[in-house]
Amino acid sequence: MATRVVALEEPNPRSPQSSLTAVIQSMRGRSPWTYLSWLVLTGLSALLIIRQMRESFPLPLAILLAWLIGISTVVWGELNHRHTKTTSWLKANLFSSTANALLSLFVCFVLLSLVRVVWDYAVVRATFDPDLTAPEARPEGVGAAWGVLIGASKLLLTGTLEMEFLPRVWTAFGIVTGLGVLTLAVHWANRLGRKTLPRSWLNGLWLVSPLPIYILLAGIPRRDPFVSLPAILAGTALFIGVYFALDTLRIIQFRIRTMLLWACVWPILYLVWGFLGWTGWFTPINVDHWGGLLLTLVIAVFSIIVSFPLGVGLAFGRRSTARGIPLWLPLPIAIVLAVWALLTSTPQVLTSARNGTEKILAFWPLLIPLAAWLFQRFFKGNVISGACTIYIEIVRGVPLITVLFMAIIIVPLFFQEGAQIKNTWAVLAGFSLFNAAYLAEVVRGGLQAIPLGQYEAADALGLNSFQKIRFILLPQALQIVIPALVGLFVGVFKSSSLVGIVGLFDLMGIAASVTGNPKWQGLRTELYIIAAVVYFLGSYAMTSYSWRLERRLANAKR
Amino acid sequence: MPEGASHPVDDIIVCRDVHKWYGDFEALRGIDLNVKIGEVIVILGPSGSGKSTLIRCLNRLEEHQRGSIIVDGIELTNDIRNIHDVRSEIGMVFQSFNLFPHLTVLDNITLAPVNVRRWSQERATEIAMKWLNRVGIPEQAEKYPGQLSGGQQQRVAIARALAMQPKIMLFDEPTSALDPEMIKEVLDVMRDLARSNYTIMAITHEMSFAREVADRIIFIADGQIVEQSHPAEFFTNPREERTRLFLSQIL
Repeated sequence: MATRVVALEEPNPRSPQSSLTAVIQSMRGRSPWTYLSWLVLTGLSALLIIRQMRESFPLPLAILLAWLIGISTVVWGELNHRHTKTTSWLKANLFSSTANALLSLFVCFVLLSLVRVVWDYAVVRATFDPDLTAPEARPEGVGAAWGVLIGASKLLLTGTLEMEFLPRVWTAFGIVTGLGVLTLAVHWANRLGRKTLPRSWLNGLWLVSPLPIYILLAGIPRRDPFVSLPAILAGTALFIGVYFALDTLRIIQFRIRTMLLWACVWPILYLVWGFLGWTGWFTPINVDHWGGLLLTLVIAVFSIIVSFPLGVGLAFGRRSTARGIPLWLPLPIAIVLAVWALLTSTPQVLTSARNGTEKILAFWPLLIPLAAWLFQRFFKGNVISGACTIYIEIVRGVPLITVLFMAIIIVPLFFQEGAQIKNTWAVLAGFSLFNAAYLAEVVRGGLQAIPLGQYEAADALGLNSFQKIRFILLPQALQIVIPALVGLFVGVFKSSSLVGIVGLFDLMGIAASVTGNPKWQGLRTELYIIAAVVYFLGSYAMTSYSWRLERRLANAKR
Repeated sequence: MPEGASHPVDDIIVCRDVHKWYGDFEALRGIDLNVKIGEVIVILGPSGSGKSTLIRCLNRLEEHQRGSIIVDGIELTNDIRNIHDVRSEIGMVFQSFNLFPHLTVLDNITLAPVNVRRWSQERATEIAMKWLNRVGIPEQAEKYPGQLSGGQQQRVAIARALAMQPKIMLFDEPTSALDPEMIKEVLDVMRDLARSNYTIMAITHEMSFAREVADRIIFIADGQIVEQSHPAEFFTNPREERTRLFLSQIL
């Protein structure tokens, strides 16, 4: 109804009869609904004003006065056909019509009463004493018992992690903060035109930072000071082999210098790892004891970092136009497999079958050729595109909760007894694999928005696949999908609270369980407010960064 | 490369019986073509005749299904290495410019020399500026393509192709997307190149340009080379009925 009222009262500032009588006259002859809405708004506002005035006098009066001054300046400007910047803003946003002016007043007082309630609860009647948090210790009529944040701070930040490991967590936190501050400082100095650390160094530091952070947060198993030369050689050979394979296919080509540097990576990593393991400085931490904010951040950051390259790979894979394998190749293999399975498995199942359904199920190998045929039919033998598409569609068709349950219940079944995988790792893998599928579709959207001519120009210049992706396709695709991408990352950050259902205690889970402790019983509001603030800050940081990024990239194009 | 060994050394492009199908549609029906080093060839033909397809086959933007194409002694097959080698020797200019909008003009030009030719950034920049000077817009080096006019963008695209120091330049209707007043600035650059001994294959509808600079005109219709001859002869005394029909429609 409000919108109709606004539309009816379209003001006409250039009209010659716009005088006080005209203003009053324009209020006549409306539909009864308009008058009713004015009446209701006035009544509600009056009620609120009286209630607020009763509680305390000056603030409501000030707001009322401000409203009156605002409306009279607007009306004055209207009558004289003269608006300053302020009055035209006021007119456009607060007093564009009678109903809007009333609505402004009403909303102001609703906000005032809300702020007052919150302020009263969170500050005026609140206690900050960590000893006054238990139900019996809390004074009568007390508001928020913020003491719980101090008392339970260790739990909220790191969960059930052993106290002895806290310095390592803080060091890891320090590394990230330090790098963040360094990055900001370099950007700031660059803007001022000072030469500082080159960008590539900064990127390099960020690139290697996960390693020390992993060592700090997870530790290295203690081992003998035994350096295995075959292991070093095998690793290096693997690196060089992969390089040559990529080079032969013209997918990626390094300069010799870069190549040699890369070949050194493995031996250095191996030696550092072995040395740290031998010193025993970093005793392994049971990662299932991670909890609280630490776990929330680890899940969010880990799955974003891991799912990003995975998702980009899946997106390119799904769009692959590689020549498919012809049907005559997989079909005979599928038939041979099916026959073999029919001969070995079916008779056994048939003999032990208890009913008709089980007898029919015994002939499952017949499905193998069907699957092979379907695969050829839909993907024309393109294994890469087919595999990526099937993966993406299956994962996107399954809820995250199911993925998490599968990660901690089904995945360990594949491992030998004793070599059990930790729940936290299973959950991290589940999160990353899940998000990779969504990310792949977002990135694919960006890739599809790039004109075909860009691909052709890159090909015509002789760029290899890696260079084409790195310099032409990804920068443009990612720029297009920044909003969707950040939306996805914010979603990852928030959905990390789902790990509660598989027995891990992230920030949300810890907050809920802290309220069960007799010392802090019933302090749900306080803890959930804090959780909300943390989630908001994290999400807001991401979105505001994406706004800045979008603006910067848009500016670069003008 | 059995065919490669037999062709005369000064033929930089050799096509033998090249066929190309799009599904059931046969776009090229047996093209035979030799191009000498330094030759300037203008390809004419009605729309949909396969001119674009032909020159896009030369750097494997399109794949031919039968026959052989040998460029600079390298036969184009599915071997990705051959394709890359051939592509870095062929510069291509597109109708729609296809500059990279997220890179500055200078970065557009130096990208391939630095990453494909492996030149130092300094050398690539020097050569890029040389070509920007030659096409007459050195002052636009730090701008983004979106800030330039169509004619300027096409000149940047030409500079980008030339900065790789290719042996062959392909032009696929370089002036068709331009406003009339910008066509001249691009044609001037192309004329300049034609006179400096580049091997050029150009599809264009600018007949005056074709008459003036071409060493040979190739007329393609329905996926076949109908007629090829020197421009003087081609425009005044066409041999084939199909050519006469085409010329009567455009002149």
